[in-house]
Amino acid sequence: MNGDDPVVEIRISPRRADELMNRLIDDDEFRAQLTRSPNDALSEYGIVIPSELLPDEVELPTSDELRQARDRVDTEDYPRFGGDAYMGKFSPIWICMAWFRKFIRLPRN
Amino acid sequence: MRRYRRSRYLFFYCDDRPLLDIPALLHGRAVLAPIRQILAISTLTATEFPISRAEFDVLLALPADEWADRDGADSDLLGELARRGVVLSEEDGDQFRELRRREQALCAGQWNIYAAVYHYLTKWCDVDVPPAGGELEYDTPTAELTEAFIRAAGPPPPHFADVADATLTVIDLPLVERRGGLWETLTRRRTTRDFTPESLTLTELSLILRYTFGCHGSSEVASELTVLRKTSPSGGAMHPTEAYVLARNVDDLELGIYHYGVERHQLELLRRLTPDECDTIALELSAGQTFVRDAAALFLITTRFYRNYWKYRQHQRAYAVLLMDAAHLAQTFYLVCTELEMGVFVTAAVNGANIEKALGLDPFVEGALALWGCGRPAATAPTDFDRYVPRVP
Repeated sequence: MNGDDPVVEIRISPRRADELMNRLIDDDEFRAQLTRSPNDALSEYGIVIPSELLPDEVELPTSDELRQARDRVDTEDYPRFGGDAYMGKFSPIWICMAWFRKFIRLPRN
Repeated sequence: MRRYRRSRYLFFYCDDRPLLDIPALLHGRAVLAPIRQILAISTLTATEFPISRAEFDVLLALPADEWADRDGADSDLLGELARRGVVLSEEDGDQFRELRRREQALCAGQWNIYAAVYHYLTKWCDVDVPPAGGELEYDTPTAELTEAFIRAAGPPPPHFADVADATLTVIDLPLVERRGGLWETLTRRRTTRDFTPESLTLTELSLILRYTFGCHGSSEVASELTVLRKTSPSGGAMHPTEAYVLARNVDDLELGIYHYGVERHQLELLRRLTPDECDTIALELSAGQTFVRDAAALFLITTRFYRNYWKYRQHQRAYAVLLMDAAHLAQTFYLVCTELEMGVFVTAAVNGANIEKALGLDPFVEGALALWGCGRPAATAPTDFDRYVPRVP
């Protein structure tokens, strides 16, 4: 790799990164836009892809695959910033548990 | 030529959070790749956002203690950073004027820099905690969830702290029991989140306010300094904590938001509310904690920062003292309500920014800390957590 290699420019806040991941998983319209026009879809998140790195035809991972990737980021290994509504520390323990479902993966009835 | 200066309340953070590898994403693969970014943290706008090395260098070259002229590319870049609250601009316009006002309020208000970044960057706005807009699942089997939580997070630290040193001299203390009065009230204190629809009387509300927040004496210690005597301690006897009542179900009291005027022991009506508005605002301010709608009265707890910072100027511990003041008052509130046979709760999971807006406060002068509530406790089936075994050492 040298200084002339094309690289993706990324300037994204943690909050916006979470939002992007969630939209990739849940927002079909956004996924369709990303497939049609990646730079248009991602520029609002501070991501610019050089033309050399754009595939002729965009293919996205499934929502499940992206959800698994989100789970690997959404752990306690990374410091939390503002805007994350995790309230366990302030709550009666069962509210904390209910909120923590996303981490403990209890089966839902 | 435009003039700029860097905010004194600006911080930077190196972030290592991974993001999806974008080229791989477009080829159908969900692979994570590390991205390293410098985040600028603006206390003035309570936001963090990535900046480039070039922007970082421009910021370092800009003084915080005097206005500096800039033109060309630097001016364009600084104009954008000014809109984000990282630098201040002398430009006209409401946004720039407001940011200059906030900076001035923090400086003149004698805010310690670490306290300011903590307070403003941890305040919630428009947070709705129940997942996906639904209500929290109070009926979820708690034992199952608790076990799962312990499996995921590991066991908590031991419930009794032990000093692991067998060589310590140990003295058994005389076990003395007292009955009645304060002793019994202390042992009956508990948190309640289930309330009956029964109202509070105005006398009860008056008692709660008078014995929690009321003034029971004053002393003029200098020509322009009077200190008050209250039922809870306060750092430097400054008593900066204020109480606003959201009266939902109090006899002879219109539904609405009131300020408790300590000097004359009065309620000052700030805003009338309909029952629906009461419910909506209670939910909004408590970040969606549905049980708050059942409390007869809610108490919005705020603090007047400069009342304390006037004395403890830019002091590293002053902000902690504000929180401790509110916590002392919370315990007094618990005891007064317990004595009145009322159920009580205190929550810090609140939308502070929404509380300030609802009360018409300038958040750089007076800020929200917590929300309390009380009412008649419902006789509900005890949960696992209520089944305490009496313990005598």
